[in-house]
Amino acid sequence: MSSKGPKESGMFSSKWGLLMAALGAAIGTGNIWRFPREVANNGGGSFMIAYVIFLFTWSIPILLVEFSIGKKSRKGTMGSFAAFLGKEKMWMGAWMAWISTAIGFYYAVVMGWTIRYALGAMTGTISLTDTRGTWEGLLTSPLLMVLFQFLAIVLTAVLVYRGIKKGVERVNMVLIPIMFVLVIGSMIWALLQPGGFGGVAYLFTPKTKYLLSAKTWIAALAQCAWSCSAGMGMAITFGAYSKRKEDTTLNSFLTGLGDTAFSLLIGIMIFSTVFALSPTVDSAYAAVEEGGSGLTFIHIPKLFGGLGTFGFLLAFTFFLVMSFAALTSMISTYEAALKNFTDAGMDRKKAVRWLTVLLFIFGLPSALIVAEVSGHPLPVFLDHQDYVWGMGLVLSGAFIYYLVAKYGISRFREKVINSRYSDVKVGKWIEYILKYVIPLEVVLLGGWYIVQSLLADPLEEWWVSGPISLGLLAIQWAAALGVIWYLCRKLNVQMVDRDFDPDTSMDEDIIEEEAAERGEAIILESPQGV
Amino acid sequence: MSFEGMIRTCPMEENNIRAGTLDVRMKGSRSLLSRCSLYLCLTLTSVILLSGSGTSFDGGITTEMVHSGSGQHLLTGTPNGLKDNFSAYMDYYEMTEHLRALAKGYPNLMQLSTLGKSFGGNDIWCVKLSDSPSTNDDGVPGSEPDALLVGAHHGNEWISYEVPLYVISFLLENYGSTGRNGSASTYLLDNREIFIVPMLNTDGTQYSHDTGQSWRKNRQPNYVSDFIPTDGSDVKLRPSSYGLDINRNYGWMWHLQGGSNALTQSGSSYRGGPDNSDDDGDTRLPVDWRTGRIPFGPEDGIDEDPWDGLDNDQDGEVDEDPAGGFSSAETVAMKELGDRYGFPVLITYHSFSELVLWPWGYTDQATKDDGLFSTFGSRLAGMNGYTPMQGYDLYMTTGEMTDWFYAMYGTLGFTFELAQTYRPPEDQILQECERNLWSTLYLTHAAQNPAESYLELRYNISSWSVKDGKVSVDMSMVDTGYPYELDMERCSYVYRSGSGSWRTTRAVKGGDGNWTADIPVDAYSGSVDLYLKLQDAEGHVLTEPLYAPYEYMVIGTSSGSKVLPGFTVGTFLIMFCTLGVIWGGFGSGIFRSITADNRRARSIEL
Repeated sequence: MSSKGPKESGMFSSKWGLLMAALGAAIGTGNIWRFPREVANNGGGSFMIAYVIFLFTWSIPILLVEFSIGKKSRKGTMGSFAAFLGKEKMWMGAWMAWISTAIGFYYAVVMGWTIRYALGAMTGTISLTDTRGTWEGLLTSPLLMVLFQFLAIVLTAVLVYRGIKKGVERVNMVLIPIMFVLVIGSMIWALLQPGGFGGVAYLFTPKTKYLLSAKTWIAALAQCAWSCSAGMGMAITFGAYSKRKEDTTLNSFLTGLGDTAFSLLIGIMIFSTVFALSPTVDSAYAAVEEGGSGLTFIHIPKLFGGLGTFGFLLAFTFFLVMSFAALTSMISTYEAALKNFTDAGMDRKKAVRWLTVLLFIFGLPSALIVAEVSGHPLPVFLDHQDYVWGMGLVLSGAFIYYLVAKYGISRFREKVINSRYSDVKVGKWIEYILKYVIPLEVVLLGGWYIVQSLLADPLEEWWVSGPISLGLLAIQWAAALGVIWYLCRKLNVQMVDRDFDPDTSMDEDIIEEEAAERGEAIILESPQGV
Repeated sequence: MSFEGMIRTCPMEENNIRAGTLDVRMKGSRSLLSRCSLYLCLTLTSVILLSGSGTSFDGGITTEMVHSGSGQHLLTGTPNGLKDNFSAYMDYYEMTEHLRALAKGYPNLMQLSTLGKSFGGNDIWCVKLSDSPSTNDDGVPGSEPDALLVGAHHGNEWISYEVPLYVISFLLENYGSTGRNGSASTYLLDNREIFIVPMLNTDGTQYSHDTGQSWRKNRQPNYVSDFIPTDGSDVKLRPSSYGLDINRNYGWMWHLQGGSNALTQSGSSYRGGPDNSDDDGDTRLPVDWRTGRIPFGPEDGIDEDPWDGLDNDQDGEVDEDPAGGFSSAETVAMKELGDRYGFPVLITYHSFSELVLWPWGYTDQATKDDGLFSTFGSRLAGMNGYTPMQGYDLYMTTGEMTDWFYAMYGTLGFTFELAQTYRPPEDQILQECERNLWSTLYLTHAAQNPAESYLELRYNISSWSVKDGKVSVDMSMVDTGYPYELDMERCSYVYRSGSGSWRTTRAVKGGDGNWTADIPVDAYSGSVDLYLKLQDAEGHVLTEPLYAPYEYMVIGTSSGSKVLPGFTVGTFLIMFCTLGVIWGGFGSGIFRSITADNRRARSIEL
């Protein structure tokens, strides 16, 4: 029973490679624009309390489970579900892969924007005074939008093409530390500006009213889940690419904590910058509350605008960090989808080529459909897609929960998560979280969005139109699920390794893997024999 | 709060390393890390405390109106200052000198021309004010609506030429300057062509000055008979009296009888004689040399179709053989000016009574534009505190200027009866000029769209706020019957931040009549400049404030003082906990990962 797993394709050569890749996936543009806005809109310190709680009760446990699933099955999302639950449940994994890919469609456009701004700040071709003009000029130029989307995809594809070890691992090993250094540097600069500490106060001051509001908690859960990429299938994929000896428990913690640590650095940097450079406090509040593309592409450049050449340097640094964050996340999106193709037997390089074409074509609507909303161009299709597939993470989370519950929660912890080689072992606490807390959170998060949509504008036709319409979401989900389910029924490929045995413990798998590395074939008498 | 309790150190019994030893080491490293994060927090705290960010709120939130003349300031000389000039009544010669000085001082804003000579040989000066006075409409026909201001139809109404003279000086001296005066002047000169005939009755006015008499009419001679030989025969007739009332000498309804002493040559309101000429060449009788009967009167086809808009002789032509009117150089000059420019609006200044009058003057019937006349007139009267009414309601007038202009060109013309006496004391000239300035400027503005007087401007923003990433503004513009449909698609707020370029955002009219819009917050750098801009289906543009974008509203904080959020005990608590758990946790996790590697390496060695 030889395992071809470890030699099959590139693997992470070290635990640091795996960690950096996971951090790169988790740290995205959302850390930069979404986190500060969510903090600002949900009562600063109050939000942070809720965020930290959810970090430990949602994101890290889900990441942990995902890593373990991947490490055990050695497959991508589809193969993992097929391995653990049987082929008829493969569509659940396909859903996760689809979510990741669908996010990739529009994420490439966003990444294109960051590249355009980074290049623009470097060459001085963006305006730091008429920032809205620059921003709307970009949005309303289909040529530029597609050009930079294309650039983003090609850049990612080239790096992914080189394989896990030479591509993903190496890129992240370089970019993640650079990002941390740049952000820490910018943060220190921002803190040293007069008024900069006002931002720190704004970030951490708790407001009782918000602490007692359901909205704060939901927003914190949503931000935490989205930001850490929990449920994206990323951890399953990277788990599959890592050696079984590698620790996953500590890595999950480090991914969740590292992502949040980065968010905090960015948060302090942005708030300090905003409060230091805004001409008045009103405008500072207004700036942080606008969030979204407004904050990132209109307000922040404007703040730098008053600083002359140095401002361009800061803007360049800022957008360079954003580009890196987008790139590393884009890579993980690629990998998560790619793994499913290679699992199905497709050549990796061929799969990269196909996926590149797919991502570019399906990303075009997000780049091209820009509508004027109250006098200003907005990427409406992109925003809509962000909502529809971003929400898909809730369902993905539910599927992962279903997988673990089917397998047996205690059994999963003992056999799949923990091994002799774990840097740390996971205690029984995770069973309680998986059993009680996560289902509650799924219901809470999903239910909240439905209720919110229903309550938002009961008289409006919320269910058929508008960027955040529940009706459009339901239609697209149903269509995607239908197609995925049908294709998975029809798909006749062997996704699961023939020697996969759900009952062997991780320790046994490791022995087998080490033997395979040495070229030996250890024949176990029977799966139950050890 | 730390996650350490949730993770158990992996026991390494197999590797002969005693768990206890390892644990001690791990604990030591952990305390090092927590010490590090504590140091970091303490440093942050002390810096925060030392930097002492303010917590007091000062500097209220304000709304104010800002006026900025944005044109180039073209003052090239230093002509007579405003104050000096309006402390005494000028006579015709002083005025001529004054106007020439202004024309020399402001060659790019003012063009001085003569409309012809009076009977006494004086030039009837016409001042044209515009940003390029020598080019009509800046070369784009219709781009600069014309307004006409006329003073001194009557020689004894001296204040009536001081007011238009004041308007001239005001507009010239304030063009391109800041403040409300500058905005209005710049706007009007940039976007209108203003024709001002400050002293129409030059002879009568000068005669008043020279003799000290209160002389109303002009100074052309009246003969006993109005029949003057036209064959060149040298019949010298001695004038029996002098002058006609220019404001009874326009054509419209000149022939009607009524109103004071219009028919009496020596009367102060003499309308001028009939022309007795066969203007349309339809004389029915040739001169009968046997009886000596000369064709005369309507029955003989002379003066049979006066200016009344009717085909009185039923020959298919209207008003082709008027009986009289335009028998003075002054009225002829005004007719030519009217024929040429057509003026949508005009004011003719008179004194006295503090009234704003509009046509008709010859009848108590209302014009078909009476709604607009009374709205517009009331708006003007509201600005100078006068009483608005139809001209006839004061007394009947025939051959009057505003009647003529309305009948012939559709001009919305108003007669301002200034002050409480013909000639207010000289120390009140300036006061009276200032009193009538803004209504005059308003009329000039409305030359483009007189119906804008149906909209009441408030010069006020009802409410505004900065929240949810947007600046919400409410402004009201009270509509008292604006006749045109507004094009809601094109109603917007125009805004900008600082010295940026103007941008627009759709404005929506609420049930309370307020126009509301959300202005993207990136335009808000402590303040936003904005004005409301409405457009109707006819393409008219309406703004609030009136002279936008030369004036606009500013919302924002009044002072530049920055009030930063303050630190509380809770802030520190949350900050320490969050940073401790996240940064500390991340740091110690990395550390643990490193040590685990070392440990594993050691286990291999062992």
